[in-house]
Amino acid sequence: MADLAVDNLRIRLGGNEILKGVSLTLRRGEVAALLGPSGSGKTTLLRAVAGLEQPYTGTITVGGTTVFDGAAGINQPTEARGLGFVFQSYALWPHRTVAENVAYSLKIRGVAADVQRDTVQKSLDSLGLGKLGHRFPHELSGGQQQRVAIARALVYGPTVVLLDEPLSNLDAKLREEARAFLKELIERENLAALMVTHDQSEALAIANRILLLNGGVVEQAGTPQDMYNAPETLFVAEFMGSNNHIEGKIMGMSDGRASIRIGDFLLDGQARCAPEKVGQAGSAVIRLEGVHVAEGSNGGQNHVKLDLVTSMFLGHTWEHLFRGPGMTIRTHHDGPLSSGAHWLHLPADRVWIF
Amino acid sequence: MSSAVAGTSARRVVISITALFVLAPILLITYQSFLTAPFFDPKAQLSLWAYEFVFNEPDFWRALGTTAMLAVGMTAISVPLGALLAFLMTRTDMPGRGGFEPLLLVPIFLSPIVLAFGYVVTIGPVGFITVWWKQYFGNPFWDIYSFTSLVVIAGLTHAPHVYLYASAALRSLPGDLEEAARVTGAKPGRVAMDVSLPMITPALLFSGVLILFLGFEVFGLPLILGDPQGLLVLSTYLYKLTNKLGVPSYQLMAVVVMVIIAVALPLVFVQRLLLRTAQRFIAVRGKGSRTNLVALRAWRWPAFLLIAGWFAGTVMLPMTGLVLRSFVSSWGLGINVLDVLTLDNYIELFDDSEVVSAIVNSVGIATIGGALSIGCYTMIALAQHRWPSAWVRFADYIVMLPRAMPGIVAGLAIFWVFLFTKPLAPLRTTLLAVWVAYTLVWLAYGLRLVQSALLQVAPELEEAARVTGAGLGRAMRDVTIPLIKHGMLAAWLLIMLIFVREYSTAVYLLGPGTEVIGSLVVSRWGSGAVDIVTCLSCINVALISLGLMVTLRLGVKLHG
Repeated sequence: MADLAVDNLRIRLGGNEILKGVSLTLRRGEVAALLGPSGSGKTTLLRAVAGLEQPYTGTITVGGTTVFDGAAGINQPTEARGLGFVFQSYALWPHRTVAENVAYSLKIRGVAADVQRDTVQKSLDSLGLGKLGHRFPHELSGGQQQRVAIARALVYGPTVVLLDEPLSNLDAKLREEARAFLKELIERENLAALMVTHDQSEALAIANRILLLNGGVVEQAGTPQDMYNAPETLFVAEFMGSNNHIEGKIMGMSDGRASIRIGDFLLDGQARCAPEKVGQAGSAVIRLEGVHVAEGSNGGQNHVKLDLVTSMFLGHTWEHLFRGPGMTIRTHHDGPLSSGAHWLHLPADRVWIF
Repeated sequence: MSSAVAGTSARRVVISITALFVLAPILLITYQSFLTAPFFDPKAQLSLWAYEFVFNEPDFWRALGTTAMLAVGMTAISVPLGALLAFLMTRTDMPGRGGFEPLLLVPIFLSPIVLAFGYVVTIGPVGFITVWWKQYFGNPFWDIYSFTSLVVIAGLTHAPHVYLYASAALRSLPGDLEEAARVTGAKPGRVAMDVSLPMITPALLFSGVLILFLGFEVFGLPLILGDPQGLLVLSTYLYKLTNKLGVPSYQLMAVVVMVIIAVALPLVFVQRLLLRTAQRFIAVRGKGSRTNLVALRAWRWPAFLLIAGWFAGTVMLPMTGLVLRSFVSSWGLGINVLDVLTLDNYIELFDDSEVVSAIVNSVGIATIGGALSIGCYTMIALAQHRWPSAWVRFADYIVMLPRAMPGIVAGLAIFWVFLFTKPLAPLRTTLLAVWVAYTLVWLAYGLRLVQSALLQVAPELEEAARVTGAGLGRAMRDVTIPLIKHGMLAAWLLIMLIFVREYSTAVYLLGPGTEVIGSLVVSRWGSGAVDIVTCLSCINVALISLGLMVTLRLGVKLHG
């Protein structure tokens, strides 16, 4: 049984429909990432699960209990839903010490003072905050504040934890450490975690499952590998990873393959569009790492000769920018290239045609 | 954007009580205005008689005309003056700006009636300056009891209101807007006219309407300065009407009150509208550091003298006179000040039990009453807090209504409510009635102070409490209220100052046990007790100054 289930949830805010029927299920030990551009409704969905936004139809079930059912008129208040919530800004109460922040949920539940103290200390210890209980939030670093927020959300043992952009307030270096820490913690505590992020690399790294939202609907859901390697729509293909986008005219389609013509260059790839689109304008998408510089090549299927415009050194690799009639291609390559024209290979199984 | 689930019944109760509290007096006034006699008179009948009577009174129309001219006249003086003060203080290198800063707002906290007394004892017919002037120059060129004097004094004393909004708007103008104009080649004066001034137009417009509105409300200045020549404005006309027909003519008073509310209410809503526009302009919060002040060069000292002169004329002159008058036994032509200096006035003051209880009551109502009022305002603010509901919009309008009731009107209305409602009648002669009236009059102001503190609380701090299991009330108690503690303290200090300053609201409630300094000086001035009035005024000013010093020392901004 799912520990969190959302079915056909719809939310209207000030006349705009923000969520247009979203469904998802989540089990313990799983991390689902809500990914999407700003305004796609991902934060609204998360807040609706917590009871902080008001859907007008659909159902939300937490641990087998229906906490919201638009049709049946069930709507449990936030405090009765028994969830953990980590806010983007952490929302640590500035007038309470770290220990008091963490102990609050226990205090509300009437836990005895000495049990509170032990539980809080254990929780702080497990997050590496053991000695910081007496401090106030503003006396902590960003990374420590984040851990306090997590401790506060988890201390009373909720099975479902909601995280709103938990890493966005950390600087780049810290973010990678926190990412690994968070994933390990969720697996160790056997939690069902729903996490909002706008950063696809974060979603790929942490989540078992990604829901890509666009304009209030789930555009595609699946494992990170599916989302990255088998996008179903142009939006998903473009949202995940770094891409080259080429406009052309779709020439033919058969057996899941399609070809697209850009000027006099004919590019083969995997068909991701309806057969009716043959003869019409279409797009080809290929990831940067899908494009190879074919040194010593003399052309061939899906090979194109383009001029090198500029090169950038990225540390672990180089990025080169090529331009030719009707297309601009960027690719990664492990070394610098001489100026002038180069052959590029765009393998047909890495090209998606929409 | 917040949880709209639980705790709504408590919110509804608070908003309903607020609505009752605000609407009851207004409905009673409306009802009374359609009666032929006071509401307690069994012979009273529904009719338009009172309206016909008042609208056929030449005195009423004269008072309405005088009020309109006074309001327009003082606006015409205080808006340009306030804007100029603001420009000099925030934008130029005028000397002594830092020292003037707190002084400029002082007139806002002084009771207008106290200032009026001050003017009478200095430049009135037998004032200190007048007498001295007569000795050397003959008859003075001014007449304190003329309409012109009234307009000028009202204009000068209300300039700080304009200064407050204009300087806030000027300060929040991002410096780069002006720098951009400078870079394209505009000279400083040109920049002021083309960029700075248009940017603060909404603030000036707002303060203009505010002054116009305050002009319709003024009571103390015309009561003291207009009365000797029979110059009446609506509020003093109302005050004089009390015994027009020999018996209490409540129905006539109710009609005048209806007229005052009918004029004030649209002004209140225009203000509300303009304030939003003004805030939209201010919303471009300046990034603080501004280095390029306009160099006044040769005009530096004339500018300084202008402000110093304004302060001397508006605050120093009446205050000095007041203090001096309170220390002399008698005063008139040919008397040497040194011969009549005495402490007797103050000593006698404490033999007068009414005066003593007025002082005690004033302090009590300001401190304890002020705290209770802030408690009420906080309850109302919390009831509205993050609740997307039609109730909140309703409450927003309800709390605006008392603003359309000048203090004297609200005091009268509360007096009637206590008279009308049998169970409340015994409380009419207690301080509770005065406190209710004060709380009602300052509802919109106090509520705004609390609300601005609430605005500082990030919503997720409260949501975090909800998610961890706290109900609405618990989250407010454990998170919201502790976080606005300082804001509430600041609001309390400001309300305290205002309650000490208040004079017109308690006029109709004055009686044994309900006397406060403000209402007592109004009544004692009527009986000609200049010694007591000046002493009490000085005590009033001393209390306010003490409060102001504490407030400033604690770093509280003087405007909410």
